[in-house]
Amino acid sequence: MSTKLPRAEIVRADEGATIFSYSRHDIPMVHLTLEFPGGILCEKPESPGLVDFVPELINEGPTGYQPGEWRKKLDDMAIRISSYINTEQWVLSASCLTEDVDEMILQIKQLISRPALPSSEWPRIQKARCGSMRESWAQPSYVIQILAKNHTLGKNHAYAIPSYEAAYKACEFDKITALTGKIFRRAPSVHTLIGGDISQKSANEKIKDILSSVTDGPQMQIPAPVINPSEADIWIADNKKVDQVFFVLSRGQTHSGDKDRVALRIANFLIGAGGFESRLMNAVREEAGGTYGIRSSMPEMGFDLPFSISSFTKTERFGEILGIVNNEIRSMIEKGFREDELSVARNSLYGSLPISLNHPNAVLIRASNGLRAGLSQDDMETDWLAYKETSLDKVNAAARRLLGDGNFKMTLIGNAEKIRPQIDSTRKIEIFDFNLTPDKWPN
Amino acid sequence: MSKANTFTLDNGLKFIVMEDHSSPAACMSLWVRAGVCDEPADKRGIAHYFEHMMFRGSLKFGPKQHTRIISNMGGDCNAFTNYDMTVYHETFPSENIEKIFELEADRFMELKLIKESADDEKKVVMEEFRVNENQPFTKALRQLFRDIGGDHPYAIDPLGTRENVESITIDDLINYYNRLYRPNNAFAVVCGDIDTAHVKDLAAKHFGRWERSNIQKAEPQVLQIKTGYLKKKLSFEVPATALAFKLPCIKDLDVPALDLISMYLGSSESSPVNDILVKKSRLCVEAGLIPIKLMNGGALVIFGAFLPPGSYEARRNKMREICDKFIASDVNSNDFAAVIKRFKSGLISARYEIVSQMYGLGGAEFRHGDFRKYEQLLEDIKSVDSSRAEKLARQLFEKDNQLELDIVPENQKWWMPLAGLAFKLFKR
Repeated sequence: MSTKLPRAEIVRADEGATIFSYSRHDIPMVHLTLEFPGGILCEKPESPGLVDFVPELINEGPTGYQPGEWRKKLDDMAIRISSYINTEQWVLSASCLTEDVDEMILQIKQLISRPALPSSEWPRIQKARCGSMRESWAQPSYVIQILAKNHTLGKNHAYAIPSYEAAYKACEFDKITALTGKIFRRAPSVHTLIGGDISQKSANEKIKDILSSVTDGPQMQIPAPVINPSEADIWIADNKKVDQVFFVLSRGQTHSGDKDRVALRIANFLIGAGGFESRLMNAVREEAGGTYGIRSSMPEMGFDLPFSISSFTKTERFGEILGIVNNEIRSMIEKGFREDELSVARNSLYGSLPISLNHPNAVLIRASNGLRAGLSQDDMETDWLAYKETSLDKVNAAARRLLGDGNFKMTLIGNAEKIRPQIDSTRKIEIFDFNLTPDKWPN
Repeated sequence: MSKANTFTLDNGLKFIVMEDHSSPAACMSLWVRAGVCDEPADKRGIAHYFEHMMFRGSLKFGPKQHTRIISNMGGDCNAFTNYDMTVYHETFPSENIEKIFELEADRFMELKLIKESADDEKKVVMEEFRVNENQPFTKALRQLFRDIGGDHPYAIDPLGTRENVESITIDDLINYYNRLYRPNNAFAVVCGDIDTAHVKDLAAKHFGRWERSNIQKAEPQVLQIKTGYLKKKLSFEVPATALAFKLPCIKDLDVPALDLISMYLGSSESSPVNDILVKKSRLCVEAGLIPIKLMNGGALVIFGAFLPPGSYEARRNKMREICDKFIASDVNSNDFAAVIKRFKSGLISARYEIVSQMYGLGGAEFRHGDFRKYEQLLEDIKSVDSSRAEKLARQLFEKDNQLELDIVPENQKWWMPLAGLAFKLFKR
């Protein structure tokens, strides 16, 4: 087993931005990613869905091209350039064969210095989003996660603001272009990742060339999102057409760079993120046959987010399965995990990391996310080694932190009439129709 | 990319091995020629159900040990079932390869099939069934495939039917295992930081005693999708329309020519299907092309979804124009060169992931009986000139070979398209 993880080279550019580079010359491709602060966190409750249109309009290309012309030029050269949105960043991602890297750089420079944002394409793009949302919002598996975020973070939390058809219809083109105009700015918080068949020297030069086409100017102000959860403990989106209950249990808060992050990750693995090696999967699927899948999630973002457990089960068994989940949670809080369980979690987390770092982007994104969380690559290497050494006591303490007193907010989709008798009616419950638009969801 | 090697054990189990020492990882997969097509007609879903049972314990390794041992080494494992095959795969730190061989050999040769664990797993399979049925879109697609493909196994979802899965007994599972899980009905692919000679030794040591048998399979039926016109009301939220063209069995298909046609017409945003249907004509909000190439027939589907109001016929006519333009030799060699370059770029990019290599080699071996088809993919595509592509396109896009399909959302009331039109007129 290798004892060293692949590392990116990190350089602070004079022009602003932090450059991450990683060379791998056996495959003749170059990959580039530009990460500008912003992303979903720029969403505002009075204009839901707006942020989703930004990358779509950027993807139409720079000025000077007819609609579709730029995309065809790139496709013909097998150059891939695409803008998309992350929770905390606007991202421009690109890749090409080594022979085309200069052309790729030129196209990126043109795009970020003068995106076309063509109004002629706006009606088409808006309509496409509406159509896509109409289909997505009919699928319970899609809706449950959005519902849970809204329930636990609150209507006005940027991460929880749902995009839906009516919201997209109300989006205004001018507001999107105004938002887009604020994205591409130089600053140390801008991360530029370049890797593959390119030397570090050449990588730095090319990034500096790109940055020269980005203006100085005030960085986008991204307000820290405030958590203001719904009052009700339980939300039920009533859907009589399904014969399962889709559920998410949420509580607490974690964020990236947490001082107990290693123990928390191990605990999360053991609770539900570790697949068949987790307590919940074992209890609910393997022993009770109650679901096809159950998992826990501990997001690591730059802002607080709740820990959650999600799954689905046959409606008639929901009470029983919830009971099993609650019993397992109580057991984990009161008795903790065993050494043999911890051993598998440690080995799995430790052993899986080196074999996942094949692609240059995997190495670079890891370094970029780490730095954003305040962790150097040395810190991340230490974290990796710490998987093997973290004590059972620490992991159990971390589990108690995630699970708290065992009381979770519960978000459900299913037949409300059949669900009600199976849950604790002393808790505050809101029931509403599955087809209700998000603007009418409870507070 | 290094070339793959091959050897075959005396029992007929073929190994394909590709060395890649760029990272300390390896992957292994076992491809069994058993899928929906091999199920008894009243036991639909048994192939997939059986796949689940392969994780429920074998002679040397108890019910949870297979996945536990692999997790413990930092690896992961999974499997999938489709119409013609079931594939079991793992990715792991390469130093653990012997253990992987031991695990796989034990369950392939000495699987423990017990009623109690089969009953427990049936509940899990039913939950998987339910979660698919509870997504209206997935449910609609399942229904659509039945309508188009009739009783052919390709029209049946690998999850099967509720009634059939409920009826499957432990004896059914045992018979299925004994009948189809044999070395002469499977092959293995191993890629990554491994040594071919070592793999050969491990193969002989762990799989050498696996007994071959006389595999009895039903004569494959060739898929004959409906042609003509079909209109269906389904649980879609937006209207959609499609042209579906019958494809012959893979052995009778000019696969490189089909791949070139498919990539040219529909593999990128600037390809005609998306460019014309979505961007230029704005007839669709989303459009695409899907080639469904299966051992015993398939279909090439051009589809488009739109928001009402709108004429299904207008959209189908536009799709037909795209096909006719291709047949009319209105494609030049530069267009093909661009497609080939994109394809080459994709092949090169796949080299980062040993799992991609594994699936590429395994897919070629399965479909063509020759894993080297994967290594010569680019050359095969390059060898297709415009006349060869047009020849296939003429056969494919014949009107007698086509199904025109309109999908009406089941929630759509008759007056909705009119209301939409009235709204547009009023708004103007």
